[in-house]
Amino acid sequence: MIRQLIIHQWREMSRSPIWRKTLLFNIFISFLIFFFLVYLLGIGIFLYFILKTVFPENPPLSVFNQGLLYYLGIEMIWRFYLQKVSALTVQPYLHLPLKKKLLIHFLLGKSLLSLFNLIPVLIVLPFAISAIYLGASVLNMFAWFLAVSAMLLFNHFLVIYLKQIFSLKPLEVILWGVTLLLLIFLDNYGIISLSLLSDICFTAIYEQPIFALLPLLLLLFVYRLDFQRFHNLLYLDKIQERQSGEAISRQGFSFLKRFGRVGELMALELQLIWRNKRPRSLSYSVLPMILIYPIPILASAYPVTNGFDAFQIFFAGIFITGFFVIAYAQLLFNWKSSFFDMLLTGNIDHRRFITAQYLLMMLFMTVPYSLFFFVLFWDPQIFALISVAYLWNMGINLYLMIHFSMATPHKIALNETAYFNWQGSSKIHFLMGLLIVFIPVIIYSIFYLIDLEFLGLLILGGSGLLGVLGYRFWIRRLVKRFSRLKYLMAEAYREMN
Amino acid sequence: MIEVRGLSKKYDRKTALDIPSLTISPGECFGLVGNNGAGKTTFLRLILDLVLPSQGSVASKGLDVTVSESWKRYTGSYLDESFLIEFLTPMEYFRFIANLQKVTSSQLRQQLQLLNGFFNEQIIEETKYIRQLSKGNQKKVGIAAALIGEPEIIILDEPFANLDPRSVIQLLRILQHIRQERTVTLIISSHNLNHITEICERIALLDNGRIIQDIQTDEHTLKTLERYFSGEEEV
Repeated sequence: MIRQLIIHQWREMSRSPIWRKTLLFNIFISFLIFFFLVYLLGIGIFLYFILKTVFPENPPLSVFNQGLLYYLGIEMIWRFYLQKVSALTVQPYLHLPLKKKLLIHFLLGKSLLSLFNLIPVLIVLPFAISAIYLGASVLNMFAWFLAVSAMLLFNHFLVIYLKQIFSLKPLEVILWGVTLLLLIFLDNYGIISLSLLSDICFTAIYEQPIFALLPLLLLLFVYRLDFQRFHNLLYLDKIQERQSGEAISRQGFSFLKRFGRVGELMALELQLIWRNKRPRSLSYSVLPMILIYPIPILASAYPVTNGFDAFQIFFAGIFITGFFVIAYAQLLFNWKSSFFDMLLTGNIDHRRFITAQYLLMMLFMTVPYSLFFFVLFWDPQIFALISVAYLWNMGINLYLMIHFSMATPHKIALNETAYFNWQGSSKIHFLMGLLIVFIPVIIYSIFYLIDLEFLGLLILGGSGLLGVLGYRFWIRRLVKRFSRLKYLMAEAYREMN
Repeated sequence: MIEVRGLSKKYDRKTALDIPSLTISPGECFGLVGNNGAGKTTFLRLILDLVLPSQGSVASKGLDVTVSESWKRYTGSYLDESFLIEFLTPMEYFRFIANLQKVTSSQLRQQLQLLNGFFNEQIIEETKYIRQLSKGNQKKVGIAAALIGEPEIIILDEPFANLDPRSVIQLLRILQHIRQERTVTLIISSHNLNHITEICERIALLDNGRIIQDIQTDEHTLKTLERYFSGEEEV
């Protein structure tokens, strides 16, 4: 029976018109994901050796253990947004002679299909194997592996349970993040040491394999809890209720409304991202990439000794501060295709409308930039280079992105499944993304060829700064373009697929 | 209030609308009737600057709508679902519109009070997103939003279609009530001849993009229109 259900799920996906239309894109993206997984596996295999070189005074296992609780804490935020167990999946089966238990196990089992849950296999297992290879005891290491994997899955099912009980407001997420940062800070100065606690617990499991039963029991317990919860939930009216419950709890953006009509529009855009499947999952999938991809680049270019190192870091900076906006702003107007006529006829002039978009995108670049603020304490030079990239993004790239995003209007269904859904994207968008990234490369290469690399970077940063200061000029140009193109856009958005 | 000069809209050389001259005065209720594809929605979209005319212009209070955006301040409109923000609850949507119109929350509450009967005790307290509402309720939300901020011009496309009989009567009452309270220009399209003749004193009959009749309503209007639509009489 389970087999039937799985087949249905597969058919649901493969037979959706969106999936078929964009098959090529999907293959392309599958490759990207595949490489990302290989990349993670690489980290997993070499992690033991990396930790050994970076922290020679501590055993790698202990270093790994120190970070575990923090990792679980951070992962929780991500899981909270990415993971969605929708009881709607089994709605068509509720009236059929199928055991309810089976359906719930199926629902919970299906939820395990998430990239997060590959981490035990991709990171923890290779790490354990390299530890065994270097002389750790097999039995103890195996117990440790079980315990860590159980904790990761515990997190998975705990989040599912918590999500059933309440939904997070943006402010609470920020609070949670700040608390974690504060703990890391206090840890750093040895005031409260969560890392020590983490180390003690997991090292104890390594030393006494019997302790591994504890995380396993926790996992079982939370699974039971989820099971009970869904058992009570699998009624049509309750499935509905939960959907509507979300609406009330999410008014965390009201602070923006103080900034008049521009703020009102910005708040609306945040709600758009927050409440619709597609933009929401876009942001979750982009965020970890922003944090993970630049690390090897930063590591390989450190310390900065020549212009090429500097440029690599500049490039990583473009990526860090601009990636989300590059991904989001491609479809900047398409996101609003379902209520575009309202935006044109409501009491908002085009200048305010464009200004709201512009400011919000600036905010979206500033948030990741500020996440990398700690680099300033590590190496001011690298921070300066990231800042150059930030300026270039804010001053030049942002304008280009909004400019191009008006050229390719396509209707988007906001709340349709996000993964492998490229409706509304076109090849032009991909080209545009590449173009935006490569313009600075070309500029830099020219200066590299005439041996004036640092001057090249200075010019990039300088023009970025000019662009930021002259944002009113950009906005005027964009408004003009928008007034001209809005009719075409509105017409495209009105079309039924 | 609204002045149309030499207006035409062509799609691939096919003329969708052609109105050489038309004036709608303040306080007037202007009803548009015609078969599907006659150009009613196109005309409304041209007034709202959603579609660029092929020729000619629409002026609102003397200003060309494609040039000046000031008409947005005093115009409330609802044509179709693309005016609704699907991921907001009805109340969030009303508040959004109210804030754009600089209407305070107490004013908003007052203005929505008027619509209580129309909403039939639903909608205001609704915690579902607009996309989860029924088509009829979505329409009610859109129409209500068009009335927020006491606009001087109200433009509605087929407001009576898809509503239950009770709501239709309520809506007619509300529109009449608004017209008694203040000077408001109504531009409404409809298939339903009964309803439109009930509130509008001026009716334009559109056929293939042309206004073939522009009449002040009297007791014979309904008959005339019915005859036209049943094909008995060439008008």
